[in-house]
Amino acid sequence: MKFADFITPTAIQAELSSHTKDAVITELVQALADAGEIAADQKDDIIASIMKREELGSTGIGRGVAVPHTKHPSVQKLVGTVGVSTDGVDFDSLDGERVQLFFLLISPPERPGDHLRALENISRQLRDDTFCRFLKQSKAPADIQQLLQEADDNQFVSG
Amino acid sequence: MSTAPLKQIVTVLNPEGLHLRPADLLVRTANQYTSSIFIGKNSEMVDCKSILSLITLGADQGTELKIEAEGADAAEALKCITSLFESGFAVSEETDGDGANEATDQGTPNQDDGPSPSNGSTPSNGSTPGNGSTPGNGSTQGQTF
Repeated sequence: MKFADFITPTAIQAELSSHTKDAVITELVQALADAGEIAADQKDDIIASIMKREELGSTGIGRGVAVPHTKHPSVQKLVGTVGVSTDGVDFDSLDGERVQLFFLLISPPERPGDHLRALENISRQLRDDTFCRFLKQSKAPADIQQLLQEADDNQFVSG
Repeated sequence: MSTAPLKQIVTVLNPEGLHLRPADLLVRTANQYTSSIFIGKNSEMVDCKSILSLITLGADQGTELKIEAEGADAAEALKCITSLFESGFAVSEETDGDGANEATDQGTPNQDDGPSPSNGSTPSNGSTPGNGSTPGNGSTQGQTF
């Protein structure tokens, strides 16, 4: 699975204005609603569902990256977006580091494989320090989109 | 003491596959041991103590994974990690609600005599030796990643 398969370009947030876990998740879900990827009337339920998942254990997986996510019956396919925080957000990460890169994912309940493929893709790309660093330095959605495109074209990962 | 690594083949049993929370649980478990522990399929082996590495495996339900442990406590580590897989990461699937647990698990919680009455749908039912080491009540799996 490639980034283009689940990241909505128009929902990418290059400079997140939020500084708390709740606010960042709300900001990213709002972006997906604004982009028309999720129904506006489902937004609050999706946010609550993602927060509930965070209570089970932070999705901050280290290296300044978090993957907040949930299943939700209102989506027909895996949808996601990317957010970058310049200052970083305290996300209760597993390694204690602040999070600068967010990959927010919402998947249909019956498609656990798609979620795994997305996680696999994100984690494989993030192992590349250059990709990681460039993403964190991005100041515009177009820059992020280009980086994701280059990652999809295997310009960062040799394998 | 450089012995050969101990090896074990395990299968991902839980419906959601090796997603973030099972991976988190694996890392926490592996970190309890000093041995080096690697896990993977075919030639691609990754550090079992790194969550970012674990999720690169993208292991679905039914995937067979090889575990290699090497070090002073390798045998113990291998046993503990194997039991996590055998239990379908039951521990990680708890719905960590607000106090009162809803009656989602109508299975028998922990009794070690007598077969549980109804739902013989879980694969591990009755097949595990009764040493009580695995958190066996994995009947409520897979509602959240």
